[in-house]
Amino acid sequence: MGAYLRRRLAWLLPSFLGITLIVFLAVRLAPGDPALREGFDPSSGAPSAADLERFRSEHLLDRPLLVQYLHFLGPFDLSPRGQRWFGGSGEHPWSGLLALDLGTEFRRPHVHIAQELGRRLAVTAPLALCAGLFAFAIAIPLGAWSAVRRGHKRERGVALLLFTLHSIPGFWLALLLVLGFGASGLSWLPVLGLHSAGASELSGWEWTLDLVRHSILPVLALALGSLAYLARQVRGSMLEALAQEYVITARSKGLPERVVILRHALRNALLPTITLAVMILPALVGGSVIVETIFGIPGMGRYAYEALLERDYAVIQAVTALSAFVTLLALLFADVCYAWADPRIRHG
Amino acid sequence: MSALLEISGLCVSHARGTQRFLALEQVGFALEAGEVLAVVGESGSGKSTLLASIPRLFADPESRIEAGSIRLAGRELAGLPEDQLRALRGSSIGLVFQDAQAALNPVLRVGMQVTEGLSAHAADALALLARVGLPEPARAAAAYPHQLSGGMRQRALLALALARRPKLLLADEPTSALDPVLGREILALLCGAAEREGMGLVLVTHEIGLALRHAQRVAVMYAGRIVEIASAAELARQPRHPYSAALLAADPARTRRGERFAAIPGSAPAAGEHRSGCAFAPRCARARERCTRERPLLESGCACFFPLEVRP
Repeated sequence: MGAYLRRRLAWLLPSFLGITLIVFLAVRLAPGDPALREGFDPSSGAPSAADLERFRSEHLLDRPLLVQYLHFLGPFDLSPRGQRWFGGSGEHPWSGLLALDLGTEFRRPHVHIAQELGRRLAVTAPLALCAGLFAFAIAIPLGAWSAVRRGHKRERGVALLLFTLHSIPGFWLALLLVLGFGASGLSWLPVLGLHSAGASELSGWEWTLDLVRHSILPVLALALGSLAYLARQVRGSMLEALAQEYVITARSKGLPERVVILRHALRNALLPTITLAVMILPALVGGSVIVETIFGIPGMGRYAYEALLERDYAVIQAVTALSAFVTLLALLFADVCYAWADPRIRHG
Repeated sequence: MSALLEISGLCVSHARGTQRFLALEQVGFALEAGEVLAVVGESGSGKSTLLASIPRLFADPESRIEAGSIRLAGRELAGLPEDQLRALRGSSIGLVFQDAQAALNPVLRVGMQVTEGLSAHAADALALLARVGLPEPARAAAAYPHQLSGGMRQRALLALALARRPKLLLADEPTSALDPVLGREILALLCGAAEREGMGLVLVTHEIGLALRHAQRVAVMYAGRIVEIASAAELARQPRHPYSAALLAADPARTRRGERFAAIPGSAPAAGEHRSGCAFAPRCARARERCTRERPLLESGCACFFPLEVRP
C-alpha cells in the first residue's frame, strides 16, 4: 500500500505537467490573436500597431513557444519586467505556475487570476457539489433497483429514459429546461442568475429561498447527464454482483431479500463506483461552462467561456491547470478510498 | 414414519433465450434422516439443478419447477410461497457449495458471514468454526475470505451451512475445488456431522468412487433423469444400468496400472437436445431397436429395458 501510494504520488507531477503542456499548445494552435481581440482598449478605438507590439512583448507572445511555456510554468519570470538573469528589469522576479502564481488577466491587467478564480469557484463549487450529490443520491438506488427489477416493464421505461438522458447533449438539455420551466414556458422557476433583482434587501431566510429557487434548474442541468451515466454503471455492476455465487450463499442462509441485496450485492457493486465518483468531476466542470453560460451564473465555467472568447491565454491556462490539478488529486483520493474499501487490496 | 426428503416426478426447466427446455425430467427419490445419498453424473446431467431445486435457489433466476413434488419432512416445498420457503433455508436446509472462494462474500469478515442471520444466543462464530476443525477459530473469524487457505474457506462454508443445525444438508461437489487429501478430510467432516446430528445428506459429485465410499445409496443421473438408484454396496458389486457400469469402468481409481482407461464412447446429449427413446442409447453397447423408440422408466431402481444381469 505504501509503495503503491508513493508510485501514484510520483506520477502526479509528470501527469500534471503533461496536461499543462497540451493545454498550452492547444490554446496557441487555435486560430486568433489575443492582441487583436475585441474591446482591447475601448477608450482609444482600434489599437495602434505600437499598442499591439507592446502587448505582445509584455506577454512574450513574440517569443518562441518554449520560452512562453517556461514563463507559464515559472518560477522565474521571463517577461521584460521579470527576472534579471533572463534579461528582465528585476521588477517582478517570481511568477509562474510552479511559484503558485497564476498571473494577471490579459484583458484586465490589474485583476489577479487567482483572486478572481477564488471568487468564481465560490459560486461554481457549491453548484457542482449539489449536482454531484444529487446525481449520486438518485443514481445509486435507481441503478440498484434497475438491476434487481431487470426486464420488468417499468425498468425498461427507466432504462430508455436513462439512455436518452445520457445521450442528449448538456447544452440542449439546459436550453430545454430554460424553455420548459422558465419565463417563456411554465414560469415555475427563475432561469437567470443566482439571485433575483433586489435580493440584497431580502431577509436571510427569504434570500436563501431565492438562492435555492435559482439553483434548481442549473443543478438539474448539471446533474442529469452524470446521473444517467452513473445509474447505468451502478446497474451494470449490480447485475454482475447479483450473479455471484455469494448472493446464493446469502439466500441459502434464509436472509430476507432486502439484506441479500443491500449487504451482499450492493456493497460489492459500489466498489467500482468509488472511482466513478471522481470521473464525473471533469464532466461537472465541463458542464458548468455550458450551464453557467446559459443560466447567466458568474462562476468559473462562465469565466472560462469568456476567456475562450477573448483568447485570454492566461485565464484559460489557469482554469485548466486548476481543474487538472483537482481531477488528479481526486483520482488519487478515489484510488486510496477504493483500496481502503476493498479488503482484498487493504489486506493484500 | 415418512422419509425426511421425498421427491417425485420433479421436472425443472431452464431458459435459453426465449425458449425453455427441461433440465430435469421425472426425477424422484427418498432420503431418510441420517442417510447419505450421493448423486453422480457427468457435467450437465442435471445433478446441480436437482440440488438447487430443493431450496429453489437456481443459479439462473429464469429456471423454474414445472411439475412434481418435493416434500421435506412431509411438507410440500414445490409451490410454497417464497417467504415461507425462505424461512426453511438455513434452518431446515443447509447448502455447501463447490467453490468456497466464490461462495463467500469477499468484502465481509468470515465470522460475520458464518453467524449472519442467527439469533443472538446461537451466534457464536468461534464455536461454529471450531466445530468444523478450524485450527485458529478466532483468527479465521476476523479474517476476510481471501486471507484463508482453500481448505479453511471450505471449512468456513461448512460451518455456515451447519450453523442452524438443518435437518437436510445439500452439498454440491464440495471437494472438487480442493486437492484429494483435503477433499477427503472435508468429506469425512461433512458425513461425520450428518451422522452425528442425524441429518440427511445429499452429496452431488462427478466422482463415482467417492460416492461409493461415502454414501449409503447412490443415484446415477444421465441427461436430466435418474437412470439407476441403488445402495452403494449393490452398485459397486453389480451395476444394472449400462451407463452405471460404464461410469464404474471409467473410474481411474478402479483402472489397474497398465490397463486401458475405459472411456465411454460418444458424448452426453447437449442441454435441451430432445430425442425419443433412451437418452443413453446412442452410446450404449446393449442398445436395441426398442431403446431408440421407447423411453425406459425407472422401475425397481433401474431405467433400462435390458439391464445387466444380477449375479446370483
